[in-house]
Amino acid sequence: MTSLRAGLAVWGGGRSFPPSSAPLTHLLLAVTDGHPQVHPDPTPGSPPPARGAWQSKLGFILAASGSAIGLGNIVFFASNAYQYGGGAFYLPYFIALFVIGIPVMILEFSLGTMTGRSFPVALRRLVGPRGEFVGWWSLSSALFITMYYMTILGWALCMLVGAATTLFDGGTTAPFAPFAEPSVGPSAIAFFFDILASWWPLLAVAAIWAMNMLILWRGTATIEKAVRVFVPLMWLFMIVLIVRGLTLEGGTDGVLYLFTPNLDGILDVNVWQGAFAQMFFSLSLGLGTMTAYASYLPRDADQVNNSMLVSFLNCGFEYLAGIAIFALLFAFSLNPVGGTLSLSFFVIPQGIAEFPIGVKLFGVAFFFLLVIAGLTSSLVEGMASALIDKLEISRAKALACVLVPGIIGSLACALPFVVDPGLDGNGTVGLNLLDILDHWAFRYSLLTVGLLECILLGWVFGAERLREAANRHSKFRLGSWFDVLIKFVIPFVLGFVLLWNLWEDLTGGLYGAEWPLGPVAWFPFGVPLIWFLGTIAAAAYLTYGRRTAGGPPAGALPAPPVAPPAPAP
Amino acid sequence: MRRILLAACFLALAPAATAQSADPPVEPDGLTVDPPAPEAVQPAAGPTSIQISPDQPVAGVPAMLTLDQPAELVVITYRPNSAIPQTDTLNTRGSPFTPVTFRQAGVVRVAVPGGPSANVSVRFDRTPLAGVGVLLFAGLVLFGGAGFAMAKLLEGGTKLNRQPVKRHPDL
Repeated sequence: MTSLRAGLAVWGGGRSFPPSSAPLTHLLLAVTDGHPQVHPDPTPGSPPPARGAWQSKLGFILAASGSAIGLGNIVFFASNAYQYGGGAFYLPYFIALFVIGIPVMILEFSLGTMTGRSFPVALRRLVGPRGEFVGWWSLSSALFITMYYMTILGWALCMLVGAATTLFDGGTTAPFAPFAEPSVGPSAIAFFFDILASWWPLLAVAAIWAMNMLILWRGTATIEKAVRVFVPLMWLFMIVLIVRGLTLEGGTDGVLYLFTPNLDGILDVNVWQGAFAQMFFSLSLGLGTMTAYASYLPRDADQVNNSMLVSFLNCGFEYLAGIAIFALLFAFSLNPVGGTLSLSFFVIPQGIAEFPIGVKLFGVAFFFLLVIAGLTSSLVEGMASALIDKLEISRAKALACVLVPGIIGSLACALPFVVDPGLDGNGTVGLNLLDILDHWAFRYSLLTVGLLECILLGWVFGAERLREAANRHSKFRLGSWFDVLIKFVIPFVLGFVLLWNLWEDLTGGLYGAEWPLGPVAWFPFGVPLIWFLGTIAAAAYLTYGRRTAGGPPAGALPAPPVAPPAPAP
Repeated sequence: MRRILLAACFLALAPAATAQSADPPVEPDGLTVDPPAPEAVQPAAGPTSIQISPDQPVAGVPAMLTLDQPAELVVITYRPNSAIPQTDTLNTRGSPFTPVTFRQAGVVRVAVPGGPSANVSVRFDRTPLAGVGVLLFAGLVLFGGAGFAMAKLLEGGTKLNRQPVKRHPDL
């Protein structure tokens, strides 16, 4: 009876039963986790299922690749390739793609389709409460990352407006000592810091959250509509930037410079550490979004092929972005080293400012590309989907549960109060908060989740069982090498990178402790503490404090399958 | 990220940097020269800008380095700010005009120690086959792989199967 109730609730989101006139062929049933789950035929006009379902294979691929391609893809690869020997960086990069990227992607996708549930609930189904705890910890940490990611998108939105107005004019000042005098020509860095010290980013952050909520409002239905427009646009804009870059004087030399291998640094451990870590971040692994997206697919989806396709598209986009950025920066002798912020907000716009024609047009196009790349990342969906599964609440409530803490955190990261006018540190309260949070949450949580999910699924659930499940519906059969990767190689590599990061932190002093932060001098130790304790507490509460709605008791494997009930007349 | 932000600040500000040395001048034999009497003190002369002609020199082909004030040394860094920078030192012999031949293509930083610096893009003297090879290989792997996987995905049409699927025995 419970199963029947749950099944019907899934159909109508607790609102109504399917119309009795609906043809039986439209009521296609798939049994999931002991609960009959009704997947209506995705014809226009039929009521959407509560969990959602992709309308087409292409919709899923666009959404998953759009989620993987984010701000980092546009600049990370170019920056790392420059630092570690140009074309020589492709050796560790490709090894990382095939050894870590695609196998972990297969693992996360398979988790979603095997269980039809989001990350923590899926882990609970397969490995019990320990798995669920890891899942919730991952999503809680992802929420912290989402907070400052939205802030960065808010800044990108401000820069977009700036690009259309005064960003590329001269005479820019900012309330920081290095930018006290008006700039002679366009100064993207001064403009950025001027924006940073104003209240506009708070408005922009709210707008970005609103856009995100609109995209996620109806789940797969609205996500699919958005990605069908935004993802092709991203590729189109990137191709436009490439054409522009290659037609600049020296542009083609810049591309050849990117790809010409310099083997001097290939044995440096930092090269390999950089490649493996980048691959993990680049593919958005360990964030729960990929599992949530895969859970909206039918059970027989070919997750090996899907993983390869999404990974290749993601890395292909990075490849194109590298070409565009190197052509642009080489033409204007700009140094392509830096993080997402400095490259995206200062260096590349500075290059665009040197264009002979179409400066504003390309400036707007570039920042629009950043904004849509961020929006399609849909970091919120992993958490929203998990809350729906766990608490059986409506999507609107789940989104609200994410929105409230998320927007508070994002606004905090955009606070414009200047604490360091000399810019020996990062300048404003918001930027310092963002920087320290990024250092801990991004550097540790994703890799830790990757390590734990490999251990739990490889050793507790069994890599061979997972492989068998993936092979059942795949055109490409995974061999026993997959088990070796999941059980030994990936945990070793991720463990090594994590220990390496930890060693750097322990020997280099507490991150940010030496900055002149004035009234927020507690940030360097307070922020990591809040992040760590907050995520642990949230994970513990959601795992042990709340019973999984409609699911089996904690630690128990799901009930044996039951015959699907006939739909209500 | 902080270090990178500061590096970017440096990047933006570096061209405006000026060479001002507080140390007394040192003779080649290492003896310190006494500073002149106060009434004779002049502002320390040093270059404030570096220019390279042509704007994008070619590797292996001489270019002209111009300083607005003479300096003894110029440091040339290939692949600056990377994990594998290479540095050459050029003795200008006190001349503001010095021919320089860059031995590698790429982004190169030319700097007067304690003074101004400038980036220059050095072009390839001939098409680097290794670079073209990696460009093609990487493109082939990534887009060939994506194309192949896309073709496999769409083999059975674009619609997703919504028929009931047998449960996995593990579930």
